[in-house]
Amino acid sequence: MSKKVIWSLIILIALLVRTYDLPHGLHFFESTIGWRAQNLLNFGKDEFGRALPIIFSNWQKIELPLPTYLTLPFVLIDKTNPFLLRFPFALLGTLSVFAGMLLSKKLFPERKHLDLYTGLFLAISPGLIGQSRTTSPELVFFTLTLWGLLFIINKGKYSYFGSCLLFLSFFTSDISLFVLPVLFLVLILLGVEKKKILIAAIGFPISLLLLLSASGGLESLINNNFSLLQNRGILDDVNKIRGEELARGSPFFAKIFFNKLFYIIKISENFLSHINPSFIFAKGDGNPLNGNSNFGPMLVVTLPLFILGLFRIPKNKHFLLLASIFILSAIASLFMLSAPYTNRFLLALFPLTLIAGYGLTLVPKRFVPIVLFAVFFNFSVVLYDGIFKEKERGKKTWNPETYNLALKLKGEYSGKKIWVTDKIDPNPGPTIAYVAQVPYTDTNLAKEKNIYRAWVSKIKDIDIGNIASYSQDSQNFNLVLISKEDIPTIKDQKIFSCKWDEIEKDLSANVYLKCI
Amino acid sequence: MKSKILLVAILLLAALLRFWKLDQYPVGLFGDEVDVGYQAYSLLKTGKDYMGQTLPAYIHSLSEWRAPLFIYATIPSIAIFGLNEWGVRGASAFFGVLGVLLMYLLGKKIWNEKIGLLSAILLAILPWHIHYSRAAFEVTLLLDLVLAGTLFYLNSAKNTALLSLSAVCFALTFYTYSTATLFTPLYLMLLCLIRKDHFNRKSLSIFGGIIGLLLIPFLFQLFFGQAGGRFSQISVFSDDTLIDRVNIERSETGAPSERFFHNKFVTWGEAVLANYTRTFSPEFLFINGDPNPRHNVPQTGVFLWSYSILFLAGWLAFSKTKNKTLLLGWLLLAPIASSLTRDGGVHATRLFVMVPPAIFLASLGANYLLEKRKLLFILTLSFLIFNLSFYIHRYYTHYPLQQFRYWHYGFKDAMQSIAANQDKYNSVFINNTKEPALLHYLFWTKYDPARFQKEFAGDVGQDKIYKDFNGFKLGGKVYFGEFLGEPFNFIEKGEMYLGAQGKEIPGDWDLSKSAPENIEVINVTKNPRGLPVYSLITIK
Repeated sequence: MSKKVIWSLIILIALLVRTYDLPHGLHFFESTIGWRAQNLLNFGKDEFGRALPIIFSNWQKIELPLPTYLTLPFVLIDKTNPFLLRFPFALLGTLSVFAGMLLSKKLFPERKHLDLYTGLFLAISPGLIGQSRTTSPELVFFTLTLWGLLFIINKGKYSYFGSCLLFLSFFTSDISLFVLPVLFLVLILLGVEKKKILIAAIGFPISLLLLLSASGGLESLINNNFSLLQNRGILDDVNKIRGEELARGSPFFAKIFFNKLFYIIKISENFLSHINPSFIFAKGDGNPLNGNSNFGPMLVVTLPLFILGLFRIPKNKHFLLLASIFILSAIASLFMLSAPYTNRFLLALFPLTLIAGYGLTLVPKRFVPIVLFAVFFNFSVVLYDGIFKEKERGKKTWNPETYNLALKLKGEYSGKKIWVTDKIDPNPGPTIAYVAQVPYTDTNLAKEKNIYRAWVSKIKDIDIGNIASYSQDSQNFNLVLISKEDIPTIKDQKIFSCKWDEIEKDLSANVYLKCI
Repeated sequence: MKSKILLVAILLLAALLRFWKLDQYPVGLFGDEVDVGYQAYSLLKTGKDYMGQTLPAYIHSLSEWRAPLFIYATIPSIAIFGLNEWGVRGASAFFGVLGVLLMYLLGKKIWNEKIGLLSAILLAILPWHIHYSRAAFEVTLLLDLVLAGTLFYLNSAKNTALLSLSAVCFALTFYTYSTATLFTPLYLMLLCLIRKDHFNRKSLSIFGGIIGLLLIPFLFQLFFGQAGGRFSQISVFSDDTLIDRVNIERSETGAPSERFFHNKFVTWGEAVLANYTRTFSPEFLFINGDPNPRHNVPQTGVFLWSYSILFLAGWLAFSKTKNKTLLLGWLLLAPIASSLTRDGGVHATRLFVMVPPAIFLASLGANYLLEKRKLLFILTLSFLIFNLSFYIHRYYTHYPLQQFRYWHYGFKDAMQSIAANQDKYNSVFINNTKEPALLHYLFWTKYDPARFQKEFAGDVGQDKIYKDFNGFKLGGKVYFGEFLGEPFNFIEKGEMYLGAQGKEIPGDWDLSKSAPENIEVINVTKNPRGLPVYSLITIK
């Protein structure tokens, strides 16, 4: 089989596993982007009514613009199709596999088949697949950075294209602000022209200014990237141990050993948590939004190959670049209260898969088919689990109930007064608005400023909230969706003015009530 | 000459870190330690273990069957120091220092004198090794046997005597700690692989013959006795929760394909791989170590943080070093046995055989820094010194305050006050529900093992064995168990009761400060924070 055919096969596998059987339901990160894209296409405005903005606000963070604008051509085809909303990310995920193959060929031309192995491992990496199946800004960052690197390390006329891609990378995810500046320093050390780097680096201040200029931007930046420094727990621990020292009458030791240096320990712990083989190869971060929650971002059978490669690759001149990319990927989570996160660590998948691929090139030829069989068996276990088991585990993330409700509201309950609990899905508004293609003017957001943590609590006649907040309300709703946990509150407090009849239960035993 | 002085200094440092205040830190002798001590005492006095077996090949303890070598090896220190902390822990500390010497010799043999010295110093100050050398754990002896076996083996080309010694050492590992049952055969295969030229028909038959011969009693115990019992208790293969998981996963869809993906073998494989990968996690190595507070100081890894720099440097130096297969093979084989057990991925005791290859890797790193990155070496050294002093401070200051309970603190004082007073009373009642107390009683009262072997009829509790006391009896007047209610209302004149805080005595009620009117407080044992743990009382 010619190499081109194998390349095409790998790309095909990559695309297939990124697009087949996407999760039923939508996380509110996704539906927010979809709904925003609808509004941008219909009115040229975002959900807050701002004309073609370059910075967005989601309920949990301030978002950089590129991921949203990427979806526009696809949402234009069908404005309420979740597959099309996610498709550009699947496409970028596949392109990242292609970039990985080209880059490994460029860096290690002497290793026969390394490009194929790296490509294969990237194509079937559970972590990268997971990120490619949702609207992940980190995936966009990963792909652009990889392509950017590929071009920028070339000496030809296209190398400036690499600068442009790296420039654009700054507008994908806030992790770019941590990773790219240091990556640029490494590239300068490795002899990449400073002019090219400078062009890309212009993105840094612009992106940072954009984030900080948004209302609540600084708060979002701190909450989502420096949560460690906000935590009182470390200081409380230090004070507790100091108390023990003082009780012993040794304040000297208390000050020398127990002080704010503990933050450095915690930061080091965060860094080292990324080198955990259990995280990389076995368990992952357990968040379904970041990939299959039962597996690590890499297949476990690639671990021996990785070890093999790891002990041989330091001899190579490109080792410094690979090691730097790995370390940089961990930098993005250094100041978080807990680490690691697969999505923030995504860039590390390139050196990891390349080193595992390198290990495979060292395996005697006659054993390669056996190794590949083990790899495919491992992948089939992951695939099977993803298709049949992950759906159940990921329910709380993908919220299929909210999506089903949204379809119901779009159809039979259109124009009726509805009340929806926020216990099933913490932020169901964007999904309801996305599915029903609600104009931004029909929600409470139109009256809000573009503020951090603003959330959709009213869509036309649909109210969303905590059941306790409606306890004094005498409005008549035609339909109420409550969770299992809400049932005692409803019964005890006679919250709504009419009698209710249970008309339906969904799979998680959440209840639809109808006023009679 | 200079290196000899350095070696002596390192050994002195190792001895200081292992012997200094050995009787006080860790703060108490926990159950397994008193078991070792009393078994050794029994063997010393009677030639039998305390359950009455004469010079056993596997030792019968109250709760389990134990590998015998470490207990036999403790007999000399019990004979010298007596039945106390020094007697029990002295052997372990000695093996700890011996391990440092063996690391030097092996490092020198495999690489050079410099690596030998670096290995010795890095082992001497290693928290993992210090911790296990200061308590009566078998693994310091196991490590010495593996190191000595390897050293003799590598020196044994054309020397049958050394090859025989090597075989003896490796055979003895099977009698030391259960991990060896799997580790030693795998490791021997590795050694044979790297020194194929060592063997001709004669030497192979000597090596194999000695091991085979010495293993006969062990194999007998393994297949017909109790040697395999412990493994079957702790192995992932007997973990019912894994089988439950398979059943749950299968029932989720009910599809026939479920059997292919969810079966015992896949689930066991997952469990073993998860354990294996956890072993190499920074969480275990540098951050929190073994979650069992008896196995290391909490919030401290098994290695100091600064070792991570040395490992990294060692990895960089690795490709240019010799004997790569031995080093890497040893490092990768060492966790296999432990990963077959529940929580084996972070079990510092079962993983102890990975200490030498890890230390060698760190030594290669230190050597690399010393030769090529002097400034970084000085910075790492400064960090290492700070790191070590921080660890020592934590070990001697905070560890006793925070984890005394795991070391069964309080039994010594409580049992010694019973020993001092029991002759005056007709009956002695001892709480046995907070922690099993029988062995602590035997140990701290220096109970005659011959008498115990005659008197002991089992430790299974009986209802109302004496009035309202549930438990079992030893000899004529000592009862272990718990009263069915408030003990102050049950004990009578001529009876003495050792009550446990949190059991019979609620909260932090300090009987030495305020006791019921009818109660005479003989002794109140307090923990390192000054709160009562045990109270010895009688009726006025």
